[in-house]
Amino acid sequence: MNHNDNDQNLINFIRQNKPAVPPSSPDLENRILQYVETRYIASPQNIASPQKDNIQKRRHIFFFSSAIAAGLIAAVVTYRNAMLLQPSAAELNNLEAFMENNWYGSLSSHIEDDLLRVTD
Amino acid sequence: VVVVTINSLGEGLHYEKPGENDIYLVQLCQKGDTHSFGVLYRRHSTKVRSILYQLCEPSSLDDLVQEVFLRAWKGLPKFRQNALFSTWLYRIAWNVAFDQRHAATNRRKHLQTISEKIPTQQEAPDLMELHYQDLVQRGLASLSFDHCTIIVLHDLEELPQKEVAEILEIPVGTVKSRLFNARAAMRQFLEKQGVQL
Repeated sequence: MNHNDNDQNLINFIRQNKPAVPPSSPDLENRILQYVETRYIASPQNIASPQKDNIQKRRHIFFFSSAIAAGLIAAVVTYRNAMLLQPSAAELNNLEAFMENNWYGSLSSHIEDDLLRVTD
Repeated sequence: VVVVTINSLGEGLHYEKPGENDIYLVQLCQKGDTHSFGVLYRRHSTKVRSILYQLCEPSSLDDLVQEVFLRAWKGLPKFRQNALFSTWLYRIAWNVAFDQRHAATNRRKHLQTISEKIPTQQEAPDLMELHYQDLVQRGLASLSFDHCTIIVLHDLEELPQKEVAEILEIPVGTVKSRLFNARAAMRQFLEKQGVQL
């Protein structure tokens, strides 16, 4: 007896002695269809709608959170720039001293040049 | 013109009007037609029931069938038309059976100590048919879930290897090798029980 015969004998045996499937309860079909009609609001497209709603909600949340984050970043950047534009009192004093020194330096060198020209 | 089809088990007659093939009915279901879903239920419930019965504990069979068809209804919007509806439905049945079997294994571990204390009943020697049915059922239960599935779908439900491969999402070569090992394990079990094959 070859391998195929062995397999066929086994298949025949399990098919002949396949356990009998118990019958379904008579109201099973109605139960399922009623479930489908009531609980799932008739259309499978409606079943999918909560998922679509979720996607829409996620999009809105993403949009608003992005907008809030962008607003915060813009506010921080603007504030920092505004703070940098206003020099401190010490910086103002330094700047004033620098300008005075340079002013007198440039003035004195001009006077010396003028005197030299006159004497020539 | 009415087309009469008989499923592979010869268990049911289906009166199929032209244009009432599965794809057309699925399209109607996707538009919310529950009547069409009823037609699909009547067409496929016998086979789904049989698959579930061989793969699971029979105690909650109605609930499992219901679970399969409710999952199918919920999944219909995602159903791809390039697949056979029956293949897709059997895949759902297999998933339900897998979940149920997993849960049952956990329950069985808790109940094992109790059942060991209950003496087993002697079977009546003249009920050979019932005895052999019981052997087949116990043989299937003794196999791994993968091996049990392959025997049920291919050898008992007579689905072609290609469709079995699609249901289980495995290559046909794997179906063949699994079938070889599953049959060997089943044969070994039956021979241990004294069955001459």
